Amino acid sequence: MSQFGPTSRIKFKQPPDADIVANRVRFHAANTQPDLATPYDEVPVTPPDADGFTYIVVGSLPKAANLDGEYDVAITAVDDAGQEGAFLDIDAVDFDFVPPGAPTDGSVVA
Amino acid sequence: MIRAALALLLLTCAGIAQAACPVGVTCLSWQGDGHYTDNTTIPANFVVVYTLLYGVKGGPYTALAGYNGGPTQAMSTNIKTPPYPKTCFVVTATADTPDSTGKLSKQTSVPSGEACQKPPPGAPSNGSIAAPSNGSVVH
Repeated sequence: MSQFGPTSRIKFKQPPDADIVANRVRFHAANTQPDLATPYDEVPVTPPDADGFTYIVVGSLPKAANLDGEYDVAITAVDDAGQEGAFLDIDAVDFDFVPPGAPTDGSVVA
Repeated sequence: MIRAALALLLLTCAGIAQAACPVGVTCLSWQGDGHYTDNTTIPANFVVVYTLLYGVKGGPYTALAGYNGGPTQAMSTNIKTPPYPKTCFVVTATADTPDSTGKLSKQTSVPSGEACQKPPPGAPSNGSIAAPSNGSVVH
């Protein structure tokens, strides 16, 4: 299975509502139900690409710092009245934001 | 003649996300028309209790708060949208109402017209995690 680092991107399509101003992203334990009580990062809406997809760089989300292991990614849309819509849940994504440790036992040999 | 409840009120739900109505807040305003249902005037010094109620469209409604005001006083309040999403609001008015002998009793109006919040947005779709692409990652 591929592992995703900080430069990977969440890819999705917005719901058809014209009044969406932001998306909220939550990371929660893999294969569990998303919960509005889970802390989230809120990202202002950006224009979609030509195929209608919106992208969010995972490493830009403070709540993604130090992700290591499998998580579900839950995304919602927020309208201009502050109302939050239903979840899109991306299941069991293997994140690895933790860099490897330092090599050991180093020396320069002739 | 027994005067029934108060004549009806005007309840308006101010536009969402207007300058005077911050994001995440529903701004409600209303005003009594100053008359009983038989079109006689409510004395200006009478205190009217305006009760704000909420519920699904068409009711039933649950009382949320009460506000004292005059018979024609313009009233307003701001309701934080959560925990009242997908709701409609109505207002009733309660005031002393004289019967034919002049005896006062509390009478409550029928509810005003509904002021309903718009529904929340739908869910995003087609979600996946994508690898970085050339030139699209901002560090």
